[in-house]
Amino acid sequence: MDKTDNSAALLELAKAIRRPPISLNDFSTLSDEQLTWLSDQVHSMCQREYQQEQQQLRQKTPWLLRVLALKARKHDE
Amino acid sequence: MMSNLATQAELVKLSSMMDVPLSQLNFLKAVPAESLRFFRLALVELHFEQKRNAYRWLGMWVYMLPSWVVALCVRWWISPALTAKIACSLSAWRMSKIAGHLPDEFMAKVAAAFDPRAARELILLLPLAQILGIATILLRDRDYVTMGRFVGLLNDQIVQQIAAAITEESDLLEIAFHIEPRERVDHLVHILPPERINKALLIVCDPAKRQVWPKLLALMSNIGYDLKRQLGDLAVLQGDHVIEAIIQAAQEDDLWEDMLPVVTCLSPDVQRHVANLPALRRPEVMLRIVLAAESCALWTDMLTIAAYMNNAARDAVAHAISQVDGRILNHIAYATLLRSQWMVTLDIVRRLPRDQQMACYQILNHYTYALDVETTIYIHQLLVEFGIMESDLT
Repeated sequence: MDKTDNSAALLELAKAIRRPPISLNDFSTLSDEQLTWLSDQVHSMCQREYQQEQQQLRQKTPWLLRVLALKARKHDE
Repeated sequence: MMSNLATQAELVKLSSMMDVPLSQLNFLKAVPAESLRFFRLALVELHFEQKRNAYRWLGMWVYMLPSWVVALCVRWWISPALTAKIACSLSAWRMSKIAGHLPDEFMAKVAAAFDPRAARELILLLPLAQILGIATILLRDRDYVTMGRFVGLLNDQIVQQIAAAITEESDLLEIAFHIEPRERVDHLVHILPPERINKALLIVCDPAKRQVWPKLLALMSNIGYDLKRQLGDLAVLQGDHVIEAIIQAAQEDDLWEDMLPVVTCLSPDVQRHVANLPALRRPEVMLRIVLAAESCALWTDMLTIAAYMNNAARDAVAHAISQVDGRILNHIAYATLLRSQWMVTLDIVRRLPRDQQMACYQILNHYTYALDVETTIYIHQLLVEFGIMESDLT
Protein backbone atom coordinates (compact mmCIF):
# COMPACT_ATOMS: atom_id res chain seq x y z
CA MET A 1 0.00 0.00 0.00
CA ASP A 2 1.29 3.39 -0.97
CA LYS A 3 2.05 5.64 1.98
CA THR A 4 -0.01 8.50 0.57
CA ASP A 5 -3.08 6.25 0.38
CA ASN A 6 -3.32 5.82 4.10
CA SER A 7 -2.04 9.18 5.30
CA ALA A 8 -5.54 10.40 6.20
CA ALA A 9 -6.23 7.25 8.23
CA LEU A 10 -2.82 7.57 9.90
CA LEU A 11 -3.58 11.16 10.79
CA GLU A 12 -6.91 10.09 12.25
CA LEU A 13 -5.23 7.41 14.38
CA ALA A 14 -2.61 9.89 15.62
CA LYS A 15 -5.42 12.25 16.55
CA ALA A 16 -7.28 9.49 18.37
CA ILE A 17 -4.28 8.66 20.57
CA ARG A 18 -3.20 12.31 20.84
CA ARG A 19 0.25 11.79 19.41
CA PRO A 20 2.05 13.47 16.48
CA PRO A 21 1.52 11.58 13.20
CA ILE A 22 5.27 11.20 12.69
CA SER A 23 5.45 9.03 15.81
CA LEU A 24 3.27 6.45 14.02
CA ASN A 25 5.63 6.03 11.06
CA ASP A 26 5.90 2.29 11.61
CA PHE A 27 2.15 1.98 11.21
CA SER A 28 2.30 3.42 7.71
CA THR A 29 2.71 -0.09 6.27
CA LEU A 30 -0.85 -0.88 7.39
CA SER A 31 -3.74 -0.49 5.01
CA ASP A 32 -6.34 2.25 5.17
CA GLU A 33 -8.93 -0.22 6.50
CA GLN A 34 -6.63 -1.51 9.20
CA LEU A 35 -5.78 1.99 10.41
CA THR A 36 -9.43 3.00 10.39
CA TRP A 37 -10.29 -0.14 12.36
CA LEU A 38 -7.62 0.76 14.94
CA SER A 39 -8.97 4.32 15.26
CA ASP A 40 -12.49 2.94 15.70
CA GLN A 41 -11.26 0.60 18.43
CA VAL A 42 -9.56 3.47 20.26
CA HIS A 43 -12.74 5.54 20.07
CA SER A 44 -14.95 2.68 21.22
CA MET A 45 -12.53 1.89 24.06
CA CYS A 46 -12.80 5.48 25.31
CA GLN A 47 -16.56 5.52 24.80
CA ARG A 48 -17.01 2.21 26.63
CA GLU A 49 -15.02 3.42 29.61
CA TYR A 50 -16.84 6.73 29.69
CA GLN A 51 -20.23 5.06 29.67
CA GLN A 52 -19.27 2.54 32.34
CA GLU A 53 -18.03 5.27 34.64
CA GLN A 54 -20.99 7.50 33.93
CA GLN A 55 -23.31 4.64 34.77
CA GLN A 56 -21.40 3.96 37.98
CA LEU A 57 -21.49 7.55 39.04
CA ARG A 58 -25.21 7.72 38.35
CA GLN A 59 -26.21 4.45 39.99
CA LYS A 60 -23.84 3.95 42.87
CA THR A 61 -22.70 7.30 44.16
CA PRO A 62 -24.80 8.84 46.96
CA TRP A 63 -27.06 11.53 45.50
CA LEU A 64 -25.21 14.55 46.89
CA LEU A 65 -21.82 13.32 45.71
CA ARG A 66 -23.40 12.30 42.41
CA VAL A 67 -24.68 15.80 41.69
CA LEU A 68 -21.31 17.29 42.51
CA ALA A 69 -19.36 14.65 40.56
CA LEU A 70 -21.46 15.07 37.46
CA LYS A 71 -21.08 18.81 37.76
CA ALA A 72 -17.29 18.41 37.94
CA ARG A 73 -17.42 16.09 34.97
CA LYS A 74 -19.42 18.58 32.92
CA HIS A 75 -16.90 21.24 33.85
CA ASP A 76 -14.12 18.89 32.72
CA GLU A 77 -15.77 18.39 29.33
CA MET B 1 15.85 -4.95 16.38
CA MET B 2 12.52 -6.50 15.48
CA SER B 3 11.55 -9.41 17.64
CA ASN B 4 8.68 -11.82 17.16
CA LEU B 5 8.48 -12.50 20.89
CA ALA B 6 8.48 -8.86 21.95
CA THR B 7 5.77 -8.15 19.36
CA GLN B 8 3.73 -11.06 20.65
CA ALA B 9 3.98 -9.78 24.24
CA GLU B 10 2.85 -6.33 23.14
CA LEU B 11 -0.11 -7.73 21.18
CA VAL B 12 -1.28 -9.69 24.24
CA LYS B 13 -1.26 -6.47 26.28
CA LEU B 14 -2.96 -4.48 23.52
CA SER B 15 -5.73 -7.04 23.08
CA SER B 16 -6.44 -7.01 26.80
CA MET B 17 -6.44 -3.22 26.89
CA MET B 18 -8.64 -2.73 23.83
CA ASP B 19 -10.84 -5.66 24.80
CA VAL B 20 -10.56 -7.35 21.40
CA PRO B 21 -9.56 -10.97 20.65
CA LEU B 22 -5.82 -11.44 20.06
CA SER B 23 -6.53 -12.98 16.66
CA GLN B 24 -8.02 -9.68 15.44
CA LEU B 25 -4.69 -7.94 16.03
CA ASN B 26 -2.69 -10.34 13.85
CA PHE B 27 -2.29 -7.63 11.18
CA LEU B 28 -0.10 -5.71 13.66
CA LYS B 29 2.56 -8.45 13.71
CA ALA B 30 4.51 -6.56 11.06
CA VAL B 31 4.79 -3.46 13.25
CA PRO B 32 7.98 -3.36 15.39
CA ALA B 33 7.48 -4.13 19.08
CA GLU B 34 8.81 -0.72 20.12
CA SER B 35 6.17 1.06 18.05
CA LEU B 36 3.42 -1.17 19.45
CA ARG B 37 4.66 -0.33 22.93
CA PHE B 38 4.54 3.38 22.07
CA PHE B 39 0.97 2.94 20.82
CA ARG B 40 -0.03 1.01 23.96
CA LEU B 41 1.50 3.60 26.30
CA ALA B 42 -0.37 6.32 24.41
CA LEU B 43 -3.58 4.37 25.10
CA VAL B 44 -2.65 4.06 28.80
CA GLU B 45 -2.16 7.80 28.96
CA LEU B 46 -5.40 8.43 27.10
CA HIS B 47 -7.15 6.10 29.52
CA PHE B 48 -5.89 7.98 32.58
CA GLU B 49 -5.97 11.49 31.17
CA GLN B 50 -9.63 11.22 30.13
CA LYS B 51 -11.68 13.23 32.61
CA ARG B 52 -8.71 13.58 34.89
CA ASN B 53 -10.15 16.67 36.53
CA ALA B 54 -13.27 14.77 37.56
CA TYR B 55 -11.14 12.09 39.25
CA ARG B 56 -9.04 14.76 40.93
CA TRP B 57 -12.21 16.33 42.20
CA LEU B 58 -13.47 13.01 43.58
CA GLY B 59 -9.99 12.46 45.04
CA MET B 60 -10.37 15.74 46.92
CA TRP B 61 -13.41 14.32 48.73
CA VAL B 62 -11.38 11.28 49.71
CA TYR B 63 -9.06 13.52 51.76
CA MET B 64 -12.01 14.78 53.79
CA LEU B 65 -13.15 11.38 55.00
CA PRO B 66 -11.44 8.85 57.29
CA SER B 67 -9.63 6.02 55.46
CA TRP B 68 -11.98 3.30 56.69
CA VAL B 69 -15.05 5.25 55.46
CA VAL B 70 -13.46 5.70 52.05
CA ALA B 71 -12.60 1.98 51.96
CA LEU B 72 -16.19 1.13 52.82
CA CYS B 73 -17.53 3.45 50.09
CA VAL B 74 -15.10 2.02 47.58
CA ARG B 75 -16.06 -1.58 48.39
CA TRP B 76 -19.78 -0.98 48.16
CA TRP B 77 -20.19 1.73 45.54
CA ILE B 78 -17.25 2.03 43.23
CA SER B 79 -15.82 -0.51 40.77
CA PRO B 80 -12.11 -1.45 40.96
CA ALA B 81 -11.52 0.26 37.59
CA LEU B 82 -12.94 3.58 38.77
CA THR B 83 -11.18 3.19 42.12
CA ALA B 84 -7.87 2.83 40.25
CA LYS B 85 -8.51 6.04 38.34
CA ILE B 86 -9.43 8.06 41.42
CA ALA B 87 -6.53 6.55 43.39
CA CYS B 88 -4.06 7.82 40.82
CA SER B 89 -4.89 11.37 41.87
CA LEU B 90 -4.15 10.65 45.56
CA SER B 91 -0.85 10.74 47.39
CA ALA B 92 0.88 7.37 47.91
CA TRP B 93 0.56 7.80 51.66
CA ARG B 94 -3.23 8.29 51.45
CA MET B 95 -3.61 5.39 49.03
CA SER B 96 -1.69 3.06 51.36
CA LYS B 97 -3.90 4.05 54.31
CA ILE B 98 -7.08 3.22 52.35
CA ALA B 99 -5.54 0.06 50.85
CA GLY B 100 -4.95 -1.16 54.41
CA HIS B 101 -8.75 -1.46 54.81
CA LEU B 102 -9.37 -3.22 51.50
CA PRO B 103 -9.29 -7.01 50.93
CA ASP B 104 -6.62 -8.53 48.67
CA GLU B 105 -9.27 -9.73 46.24
CA PHE B 106 -10.47 -6.16 45.61
CA MET B 107 -6.90 -4.80 45.52
CA ALA B 108 -5.95 -7.36 42.86
CA LYS B 109 -8.76 -6.03 40.66
CA VAL B 110 -7.64 -2.45 41.30
CA ALA B 111 -4.06 -3.43 40.42
CA ALA B 112 -5.21 -4.69 37.01
CA ALA B 113 -6.54 -1.21 36.19
CA PHE B 114 -3.94 0.83 38.05
CA ASP B 115 -1.48 3.16 36.34
CA PRO B 116 1.92 1.61 37.16
CA ARG B 117 3.52 5.06 36.98
CA ALA B 118 1.59 6.04 40.13
CA ALA B 119 2.31 2.75 41.87
CA ARG B 120 6.05 3.01 42.54
CA GLU B 121 5.73 4.83 45.87
CA LEU B 122 2.54 3.04 46.92
CA ILE B 123 4.26 -0.33 46.64
CA LEU B 124 6.95 0.83 49.05
CA LEU B 125 4.28 1.71 51.60
CA LEU B 126 2.17 -1.45 51.38
CA PRO B 127 2.90 -4.20 53.92
CA LEU B 128 4.63 -7.30 52.56
CA ALA B 129 1.74 -9.57 53.60
CA GLN B 130 -0.70 -7.51 51.51
CA ILE B 131 1.57 -7.51 48.45
CA LEU B 132 1.95 -11.29 48.77
CA GLY B 133 -1.81 -11.65 49.15
CA ILE B 134 -2.48 -9.57 46.02
CA ALA B 135 0.15 -11.52 44.09
CA THR B 136 -1.49 -14.80 45.13
CA ILE B 137 -4.88 -13.63 43.82
CA LEU B 138 -3.36 -12.41 40.54
CA LEU B 139 -1.56 -15.73 40.15
CA ARG B 140 -4.77 -17.65 40.87
CA ASP B 141 -6.51 -15.59 38.16
CA ARG B 142 -3.52 -16.12 35.83
CA ASP B 143 -3.27 -12.36 35.37
CA TYR B 144 0.37 -12.52 34.29
CA VAL B 145 0.17 -9.20 32.45
CA THR B 146 -0.64 -7.29 35.66
CA MET B 147 2.00 -9.21 37.62
CA GLY B 148 4.61 -8.47 34.98
CA ARG B 149 3.65 -4.80 35.07
CA PHE B 150 4.27 -4.51 38.81
CA VAL B 151 7.08 -6.96 39.43
CA GLY B 152 9.58 -4.51 37.99
CA LEU B 153 8.63 -2.02 40.72
CA LEU B 154 9.13 -4.40 43.64
CA ASN B 155 12.33 -4.64 45.63
CA ASP B 156 14.47 -7.79 45.49
CA GLN B 157 13.38 -9.15 48.84
CA ILE B 158 9.69 -9.02 47.90
CA VAL B 159 10.35 -10.51 44.46
CA GLN B 160 12.19 -13.41 46.10
CA GLN B 161 9.33 -14.03 48.49
CA ILE B 162 6.71 -13.90 45.74
CA ALA B 163 8.83 -16.23 43.58
CA ALA B 164 9.15 -18.63 46.51
CA ALA B 165 5.36 -18.70 46.79
CA ILE B 166 5.01 -19.58 43.08
CA THR B 167 5.36 -23.33 42.81
CA GLU B 168 5.22 -23.71 39.04
CA GLU B 169 8.19 -22.57 36.95
CA SER B 170 5.84 -22.12 34.01
CA ASP B 171 4.08 -19.37 35.99
CA LEU B 172 7.43 -17.66 36.59
CA LEU B 173 8.11 -17.72 32.84
CA GLU B 174 4.66 -16.35 32.03
CA ILE B 175 5.24 -13.44 34.42
CA ALA B 176 8.78 -12.84 33.12
CA PHE B 177 7.34 -12.63 29.58
CA HIS B 178 5.31 -9.55 30.58
CA ILE B 179 7.84 -7.78 32.81
CA GLU B 180 8.21 -4.06 32.17
CA PRO B 181 10.66 -2.54 31.60
CA ARG B 182 12.43 -5.42 29.81
CA GLU B 183 15.80 -4.22 31.16
CA ARG B 184 14.68 -5.43 34.60
CA VAL B 185 14.40 -9.04 33.44
CA ASP B 186 18.13 -9.61 33.68
CA HIS B 187 18.31 -8.44 37.28
CA LEU B 188 15.20 -10.36 38.33
CA VAL B 189 16.56 -13.60 36.89
CA HIS B 190 19.79 -13.00 38.82
CA ILE B 191 17.98 -12.87 42.15
CA LEU B 192 16.10 -16.14 41.60
CA PRO B 193 17.62 -19.34 43.02
CA PRO B 194 19.65 -21.22 40.33
CA GLU B 195 17.62 -24.41 40.87
CA ARG B 196 14.46 -22.56 39.79
CA ILE B 197 16.21 -21.47 36.59
CA ASN B 198 17.32 -25.08 35.98
CA LYS B 199 13.77 -26.30 36.37
CA ALA B 200 12.48 -23.51 34.09
CA LEU B 201 14.94 -24.61 31.39
CA LEU B 202 13.67 -28.19 31.58
CA ILE B 203 10.16 -27.02 30.70
CA VAL B 204 11.27 -27.06 27.09
CA CYS B 205 11.38 -30.89 27.30
CA ASP B 206 7.81 -31.13 28.56
CA PRO B 207 5.32 -31.31 25.67
CA ALA B 208 2.50 -30.67 28.14
CA LYS B 209 3.92 -27.16 28.66
CA ARG B 210 4.28 -26.43 24.95
CA GLN B 211 2.54 -23.04 25.22
CA VAL B 212 5.22 -21.84 27.65
CA TRP B 213 8.22 -22.70 25.43
CA PRO B 214 8.24 -19.35 23.59
CA LYS B 215 8.24 -17.60 26.96
CA LEU B 216 11.41 -19.45 27.93
CA LEU B 217 13.03 -18.38 24.66
CA ALA B 218 11.82 -14.83 25.31
CA LEU B 219 13.48 -14.93 28.69
CA MET B 220 16.73 -16.06 27.11
CA SER B 221 16.61 -13.32 24.51
CA ASN B 222 15.95 -10.58 27.07
CA ILE B 223 18.75 -11.21 29.52
CA GLY B 224 22.25 -9.77 29.44
CA TYR B 225 25.35 -11.20 27.82
CA ASP B 226 26.72 -12.91 30.94
CA LEU B 227 23.43 -14.47 31.93
CA LYS B 228 22.80 -15.66 28.38
CA ARG B 229 26.13 -17.40 28.52
CA GLN B 230 25.40 -18.92 31.93
CA LEU B 231 21.93 -20.14 30.92
CA GLY B 232 23.19 -21.41 27.57
CA ASP B 233 25.93 -23.40 29.25
CA LEU B 234 23.40 -24.70 31.74
CA ALA B 235 21.07 -25.75 28.91
CA VAL B 236 23.88 -27.68 27.21
CA LEU B 237 24.71 -29.39 30.50
CA GLN B 238 21.16 -30.78 30.57
CA GLY B 239 21.94 -32.78 27.43
CA ASP B 240 21.36 -32.56 23.69
CA HIS B 241 17.68 -33.37 24.08
CA VAL B 242 17.16 -29.96 25.77
CA ILE B 243 18.99 -28.05 23.03
CA GLU B 244 17.13 -30.00 20.35
CA ALA B 245 13.84 -29.16 22.06
CA ILE B 246 14.82 -25.47 22.05
CA ILE B 247 15.67 -25.72 18.33
CA GLN B 248 12.31 -27.36 17.69
CA ALA B 249 10.46 -24.64 19.62
CA ALA B 250 12.33 -21.88 17.77
CA GLN B 251 11.54 -23.58 14.47
CA GLU B 252 7.86 -24.20 15.15
CA ASP B 253 7.21 -20.65 16.35
CA ASP B 254 9.62 -19.03 13.89
CA LEU B 255 11.72 -17.42 16.62
CA TRP B 256 15.16 -17.59 15.03
CA GLU B 257 15.47 -13.82 14.92
CA ASP B 258 15.29 -13.93 18.73
CA MET B 259 17.51 -16.97 19.13
CA LEU B 260 20.45 -16.14 16.83
CA PRO B 261 21.73 -13.31 19.08
CA VAL B 262 21.40 -15.66 22.05
CA VAL B 263 23.61 -18.31 20.44
CA THR B 264 26.36 -15.77 19.73
CA CYS B 265 26.58 -15.02 23.47
CA LEU B 266 27.30 -18.62 24.44
CA SER B 267 30.79 -19.67 25.46
CA PRO B 268 32.97 -20.80 22.51
CA ASP B 269 32.76 -24.54 23.30
CA VAL B 270 29.01 -24.40 23.72
CA GLN B 271 28.64 -22.39 20.50
CA ARG B 272 30.69 -25.00 18.65
CA HIS B 273 28.54 -27.76 20.09
CA VAL B 274 25.25 -26.04 19.22
CA ALA B 275 26.40 -24.91 15.75
CA ASN B 276 27.17 -28.50 14.78
CA LEU B 277 24.10 -30.23 16.11
CA PRO B 278 22.42 -32.36 13.41
CA ALA B 279 19.05 -30.83 14.37
CA LEU B 280 20.31 -27.43 13.21
CA ARG B 281 21.46 -28.82 9.85
CA ARG B 282 18.01 -29.95 8.78
CA PRO B 283 17.26 -28.09 5.52
CA GLU B 284 13.96 -26.61 6.72
CA VAL B 285 15.58 -25.39 9.96
CA MET B 286 18.61 -23.86 8.25
CA LEU B 287 16.43 -22.15 5.65
CA ARG B 288 14.41 -20.45 8.40
CA ILE B 289 17.63 -19.42 10.15
CA VAL B 290 19.03 -17.92 6.96
CA LEU B 291 15.75 -16.12 6.26
CA ALA B 292 15.73 -14.69 9.81
CA ALA B 293 19.34 -13.53 9.42
CA GLU B 294 18.38 -11.87 6.14
CA SER B 295 15.14 -10.21 7.20
CA CYS B 296 16.46 -8.95 10.55
CA ALA B 297 19.98 -7.96 9.48
CA LEU B 298 21.56 -10.65 11.66
CA TRP B 299 24.31 -11.75 9.28
CA THR B 300 27.06 -10.60 11.63
CA ASP B 301 25.61 -12.94 14.28
CA MET B 302 25.16 -15.70 11.75
CA LEU B 303 28.79 -15.45 10.63
CA THR B 304 29.96 -15.64 14.24
CA ILE B 305 28.08 -18.91 14.60
CA ALA B 306 29.24 -20.15 11.19
CA ALA B 307 32.83 -19.73 12.34
CA TYR B 308 32.26 -22.67 14.69
CA MET B 309 30.52 -24.83 12.08
CA ASN B 310 32.00 -27.99 10.58
CA ASN B 311 31.82 -28.92 6.89
CA ALA B 312 28.38 -30.52 7.09
CA ALA B 313 26.87 -27.49 8.83
CA ARG B 314 28.45 -25.05 6.35
CA ASP B 315 27.08 -27.19 3.50
CA ALA B 316 23.64 -26.75 5.03
CA VAL B 317 24.12 -22.97 5.26
CA ALA B 318 25.27 -22.79 1.63
CA HIS B 319 22.31 -24.90 0.52
CA ALA B 320 19.90 -22.58 2.35
CA ILE B 321 21.55 -19.43 0.92
CA SER B 322 21.28 -20.85 -2.59
CA GLN B 323 17.50 -21.05 -2.16
CA VAL B 324 17.10 -17.38 -1.24
CA ASP B 325 16.93 -14.23 -3.38
CA GLY B 326 20.30 -13.15 -4.84
CA ARG B 327 20.37 -9.87 -2.89
CA ILE B 328 21.24 -11.90 0.20
CA LEU B 329 24.83 -12.12 -1.08
CA ASN B 330 25.28 -8.35 -0.78
CA HIS B 331 24.19 -8.44 2.83
CA ILE B 332 26.46 -11.36 3.66
CA ALA B 333 29.39 -9.56 2.03
CA TYR B 334 28.74 -6.42 4.06
CA ALA B 335 28.50 -8.40 7.34
CA THR B 336 31.73 -10.15 6.38
CA LEU B 337 33.41 -6.80 5.91
CA LEU B 338 32.18 -5.62 9.33
CA ARG B 339 33.37 -8.76 11.11
CA SER B 340 36.40 -9.53 8.91
CA GLN B 341 35.13 -13.09 8.57
CA TRP B 342 36.49 -13.59 5.05
CA MET B 343 37.68 -17.15 5.64
CA VAL B 344 34.27 -18.31 6.97
CA THR B 345 32.25 -16.55 4.28
CA LEU B 346 34.37 -17.69 1.39
CA ASP B 347 34.38 -21.25 2.72
CA ILE B 348 30.56 -21.09 2.51
CA VAL B 349 30.61 -19.33 -0.87
CA ARG B 350 32.71 -22.14 -2.41
CA ARG B 351 29.83 -24.50 -1.60
CA LEU B 352 27.31 -22.37 -3.55
CA PRO B 353 26.29 -23.05 -7.17
CA ARG B 354 28.74 -21.59 -9.72
CA ASP B 355 26.53 -18.69 -10.78
CA GLN B 356 26.22 -17.52 -7.18
CA GLN B 357 29.98 -17.87 -6.70
CA MET B 358 30.40 -15.56 -9.67
CA ALA B 359 27.94 -13.08 -8.18
CA CYS B 360 29.89 -13.13 -4.91
CA TYR B 361 33.14 -12.59 -6.74
CA GLN B 362 31.71 -9.53 -8.46
CA ILE B 363 30.44 -8.12 -5.16
CA LEU B 364 33.86 -8.66 -3.59
CA ASN B 365 35.52 -6.92 -6.54
CA HIS B 366 33.71 -3.73 -5.51
CA TYR B 367 34.95 -4.11 -1.95
CA THR B 368 38.59 -4.76 -2.76
CA TYR B 369 38.97 -1.22 -4.20
CA ALA B 370 38.17 0.20 -0.76
CA LEU B 371 40.22 -2.25 1.32
CA ASP B 372 43.84 -2.05 2.38
CA VAL B 373 46.45 -3.94 0.39
CA GLU B 374 47.01 -6.70 2.98
CA THR B 375 43.29 -7.52 3.20
CA THR B 376 42.94 -7.47 -0.57
CA ILE B 377 45.84 -9.91 -0.95
CA TYR B 378 44.39 -12.11 1.80
CA ILE B 379 40.97 -12.21 0.08
CA HIS B 380 42.65 -12.90 -3.25
CA GLN B 381 44.54 -15.83 -1.73
CA LEU B 382 41.33 -17.23 -0.24
CA LEU B 383 39.51 -16.85 -3.58
CA VAL B 384 42.26 -18.84 -5.26
CA GLU B 385 42.40 -21.40 -2.44
CA PHE B 386 38.65 -21.99 -2.58
CA GLY B 387 38.52 -21.96 -6.39
CA ILE B 388 36.21 -18.95 -6.66
CA MET B 389 38.51 -16.88 -8.93
CA GLU B 390 36.92 -15.59 -12.08
CA SER B 391 39.44 -17.51 -14.24
CA ASP B 392 38.31 -20.74 -12.66
CA LEU B 393 34.66 -19.95 -13.18
CA THR B 394 34.67 -19.03 -16.83
